Amino acid sequence: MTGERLQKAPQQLALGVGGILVGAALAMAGDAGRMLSPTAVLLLLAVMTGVAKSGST
Amino acid sequence: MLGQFGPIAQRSAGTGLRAAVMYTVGMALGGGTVGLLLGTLGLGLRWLFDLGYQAEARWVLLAVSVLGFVGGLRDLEFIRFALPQPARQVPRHYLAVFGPVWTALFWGLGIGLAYSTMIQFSLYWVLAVWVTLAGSPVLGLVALGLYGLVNGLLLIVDIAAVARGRWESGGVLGWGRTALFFNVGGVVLLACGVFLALRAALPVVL
Repeated sequence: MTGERLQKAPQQLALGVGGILVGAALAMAGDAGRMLSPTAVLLLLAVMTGVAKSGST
Repeated sequence: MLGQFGPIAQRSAGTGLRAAVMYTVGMALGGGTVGLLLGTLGLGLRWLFDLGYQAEARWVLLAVSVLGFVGGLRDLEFIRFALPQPARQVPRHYLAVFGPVWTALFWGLGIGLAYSTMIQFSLYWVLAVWVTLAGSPVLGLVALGLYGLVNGLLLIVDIAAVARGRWESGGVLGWGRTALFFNVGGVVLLACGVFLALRAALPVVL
């Protein structure tokens, strides 16, 4: 692991754990969670993919 | 695209905005076409292997969950591997031949069809595999059409910002957005992976 990657590791780890916790919270949420169907998640992913694609400026 | 159309918008805001709108049309059409084809491919595979026609089948959620984890770990740089992508970029000489507005449409189509573009983020592949496994041409059309539409709309907003004199900062989200999107994409994919895994594993409880 390079020095730069090692330096970024805690931040990346925090982001990864955050993502996992958000996913778990959404899946186990009550009525609000049930409204978020896998198809709705697919469409949100499509939106995010479109936004991320703008990174190739 | 901002790097291509930004200077044009600086010279003429109207031309820049028209080009961005045409790019959006091309991206939405191209993306939607890919989604339609992938969904149709998935539908054919489901028919061939008798896998049923439920888009949210448990095996689909589990497969996409695994992909989401892998993609998320890749975008957050925990693991490293190259994504398959075409070794082509949009043809720059189109600008001289067709002018900025029609070139924008052709470029949008090429990128939307994933024919001439870089695919840096795992998000695109997870999305593409998901619409294939879901086996719904309509869902594929809507999802990848939405991808193209959102990307184009963001370019329109960026071009409008550039036309108002925000060129140095690189539009609304700035020039340095790639690093940010790797992190955001990684978080989103991990969240998506956990969400789908739990939904697939505990459908009765949840």
